[in-house]
Amino acid sequence: MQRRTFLRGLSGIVVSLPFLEALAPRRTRAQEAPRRLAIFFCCNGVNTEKFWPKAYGALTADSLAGTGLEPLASYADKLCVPRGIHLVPRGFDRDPAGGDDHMKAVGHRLTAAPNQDSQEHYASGPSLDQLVAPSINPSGKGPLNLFVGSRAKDVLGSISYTSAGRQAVPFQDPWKAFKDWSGASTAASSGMLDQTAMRRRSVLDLVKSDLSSLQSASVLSAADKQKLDMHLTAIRGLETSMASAGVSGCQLPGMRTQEISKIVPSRVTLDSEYEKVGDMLLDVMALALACDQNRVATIQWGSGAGGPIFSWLGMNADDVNRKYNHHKLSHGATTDAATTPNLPDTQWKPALFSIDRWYMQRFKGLLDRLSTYAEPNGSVLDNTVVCYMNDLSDGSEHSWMDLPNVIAGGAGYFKLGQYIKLTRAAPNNNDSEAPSNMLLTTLANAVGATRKDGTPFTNFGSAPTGKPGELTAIKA
Amino acid sequence: MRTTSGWVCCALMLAACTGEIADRRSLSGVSRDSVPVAGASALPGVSPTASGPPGSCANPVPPAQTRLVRLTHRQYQNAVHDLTGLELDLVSELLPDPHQAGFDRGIDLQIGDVQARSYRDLAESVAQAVVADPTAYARVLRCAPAAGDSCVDAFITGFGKRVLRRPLTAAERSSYLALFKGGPALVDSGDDFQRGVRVTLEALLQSPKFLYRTELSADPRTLDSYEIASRLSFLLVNTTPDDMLLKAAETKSLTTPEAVAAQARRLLTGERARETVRDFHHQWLDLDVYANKLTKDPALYPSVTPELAPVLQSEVERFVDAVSFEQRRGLTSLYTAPFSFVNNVTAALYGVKGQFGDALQRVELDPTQRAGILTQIGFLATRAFSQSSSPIHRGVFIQRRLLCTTIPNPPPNIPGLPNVDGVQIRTTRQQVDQHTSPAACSGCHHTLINPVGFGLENYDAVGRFRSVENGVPVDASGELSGTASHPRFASGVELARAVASTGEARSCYARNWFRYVLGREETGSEACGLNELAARLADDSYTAVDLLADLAQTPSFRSRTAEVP
Repeated sequence: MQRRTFLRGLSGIVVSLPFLEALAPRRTRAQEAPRRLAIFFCCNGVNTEKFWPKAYGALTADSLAGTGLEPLASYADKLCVPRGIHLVPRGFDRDPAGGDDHMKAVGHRLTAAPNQDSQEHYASGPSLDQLVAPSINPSGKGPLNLFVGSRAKDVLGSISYTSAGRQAVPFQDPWKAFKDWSGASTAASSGMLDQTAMRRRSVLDLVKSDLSSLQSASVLSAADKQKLDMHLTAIRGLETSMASAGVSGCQLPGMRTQEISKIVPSRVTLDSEYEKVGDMLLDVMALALACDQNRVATIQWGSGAGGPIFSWLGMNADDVNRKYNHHKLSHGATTDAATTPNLPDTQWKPALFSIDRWYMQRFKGLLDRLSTYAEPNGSVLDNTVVCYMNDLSDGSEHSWMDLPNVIAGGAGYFKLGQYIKLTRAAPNNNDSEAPSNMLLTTLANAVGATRKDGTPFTNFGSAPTGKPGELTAIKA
Repeated sequence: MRTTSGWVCCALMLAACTGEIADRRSLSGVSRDSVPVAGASALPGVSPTASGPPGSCANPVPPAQTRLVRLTHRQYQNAVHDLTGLELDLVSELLPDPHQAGFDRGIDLQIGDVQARSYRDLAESVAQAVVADPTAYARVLRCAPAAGDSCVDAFITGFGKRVLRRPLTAAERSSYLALFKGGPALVDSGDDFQRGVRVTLEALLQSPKFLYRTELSADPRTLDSYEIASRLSFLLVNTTPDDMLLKAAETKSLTTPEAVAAQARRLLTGERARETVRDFHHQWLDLDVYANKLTKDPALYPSVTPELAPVLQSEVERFVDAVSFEQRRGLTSLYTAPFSFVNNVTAALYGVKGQFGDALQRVELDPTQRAGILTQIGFLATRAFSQSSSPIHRGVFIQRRLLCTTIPNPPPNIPGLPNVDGVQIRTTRQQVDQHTSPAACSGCHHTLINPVGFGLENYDAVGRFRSVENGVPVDASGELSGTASHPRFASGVELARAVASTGEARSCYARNWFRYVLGREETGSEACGLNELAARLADDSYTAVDLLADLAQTPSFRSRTAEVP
């Protein structure tokens, strides 16, 4: 018999989902609801003068007022804000790695591995989401990766890597992203017929046998066998997901699904559609997490050294938000080439701050969506580790230290309602005490992910200047 | 601390800029007296048995590489089309692939969850569509179902061979036969034969033996005929080997250079060759970024908006097609031909008189103002700011993408551009010149980047021609340093001719085609092995198709080095 989980969707209507015993997570510890990981990734840094809460310790509406985090005030008691984390491998020329400052920021953030020297400068290791997802998804499937806006065709265009040099391309089209996990476009959407399932099983058996005959070819290298392994894992994932009775209960309100289905694919990456498409992608992301169709999801807003022209944030024709894209404004400049300002501070710093606040409002929107889905011990938000990350702190200096991170929800693993300094020395521009790979280790453990051999993560990534262990100061 | 490391950084980059010029290979040692003929024997060092030690320019050795190359989305779509006759848009159903070596056709492409789901859904749709369409059904079967078992066998053997691009083994035949026979229980509509076909199609189109080009021949260097057939067909024209190619493979006659050349020429005369040439230039010239780089000051340039992007992209594609296939010209014409395709909006920007509608029309352009791809609106407008041109962006693109010059990234802590105040700084050229004058910047900027960009200063933020800027006559003079011949120029047209005349432009074009076709970066010996091909590009009658045919003759194409097990 299937145990049903009743969720209240955005419209307030009770949405019931079959929660199958057969798909229980691998961990033996009994859980009422699964833990999820959601990464909300922004680029180009923030207005560091106003981003952070005004005082360490307890987060209050007061300590957040007037800051970049003010939009999150209603969630103050569900946030954990660590301060003092620096990127590893380190930026500028401190640690050997390929690509420029922005490339290192994007490439190293979720991988803690140096970028390659190839044309695309891809990261040389797998990313957090790609290692956590197969571990905590019952079917072993990979994460849901999403992207808003125009995507660079190199390291700047995705934070996700299945392995060294193998970048995972995210979905930019919300309808495609929705169809991918909801089966909205296939026979499954009308309920999986036994016969279709039988046919798929027979077909997949033959596919697997073809894979296996290739695997046994003595001429294949180890790398090629891994390529086939990955394919085989994907095929097994198809089989496992067939065991589900389908996801017909897991829907957005009808009008919203229709709206998303009507999106024009060729317009999805335009600046003018950024806000609308971003909201749709957040809907798809939250629903996938809430319905337990994927326990790991990432959303990247714009490419590193890119980002849209936030014309909708400018009220007047001469507002700088209407003229210069995010990257330029992060430098206070009218060109991408400059790295110190040629616009007056009174123009570009507030403009940048308005962009930071806009992104925090999107982040709050994700928290809102996850909160509307009730679970036995709280809401989906309470069972999700949601992490806002920015690849830089001070964008105009390309600073890779003192990186912005905000954890929300936390799945019981973090000290909530707190703004915590991680560095003992006075400045937060610290290049040794709290390397970013320790954050990745902590996040992986927070959702119960393990390495392939079943042991916990203890030292994420391959950066020589990374450190083993977790950021214990932020743990509950 | 920051400043210190910043300055150290600059000094290193300065060295890198000048060092790179000295190291770059020149073509001065290569003979250019051979008439460009795409015959194997005319190219020294391009047969696997060439003289010269392995790993030398005369005998380049491909690097150790994978034996399993996943079909690109376009190859997948074209293969399905050629196998079934059905025109289906499958590319747009597939998640785009990451780039490798600058193009989306890398040999590292993989199949993960998302791809496996897509391939399953598409295989099911295609199978259903084939059975529902009598023409497609007949094409796939090539026999009459009424003949019963003999047709089942003919279908599995024949169609199976066309799908997997080689004969099925006995074990494979019997597995697919068993699946076929199970059809009636697994499919809900159609007669028994149709059900069998449908389920077999679903399996074949999801098989790794279809989805990867497999190169499992025992010898680590030599490809067998079927493998060469697949390379020829997929790498040159993005589709599955046709019957003639499979027949040639079957008779093991694809191992000689002459046979390969003949098949290559045959494939390259078809329509799909135009698609290959179009796609290469679309990616090489980075047309995809146009839509988000056309935000201009509406008061100054009301007609140029992101909505114009598709028109500007089409213009480039049609120009390339016209040069390559109608005029049958090559690289020099790409850089210098004074014609293009305009509509009512772009005609005004080019200053072309006449009546135009929305659709693109071919027009002659003023040859004193326009020459080839460097003076096209799309390129000029997308490498510019909202109100002014950007010599640095234009210069960097031309150096990096068109001349393959390695230019390091700028160091941090660069001051902003000084403002054009109309007194001390009156033009963009003065502004950029002053901005890049510090010692840490001038090494790369004053030699490699700025001169090239300044050569295009006659074109404003949207690519319109101008002879003055802020009342000052435009100075578009400069020298193309960083090239062996460093030609001088005094206008955009002269810059285009200068670029076209350099060995570096030809070498860069050849190397980019290599990366596109073979899906990887070239090794050192492969790069210098391309010098002879590059030299042929000096003759404007040597077209992109000629280059493709000759690429198919190289050891990199006709042989491999397999990764060690």
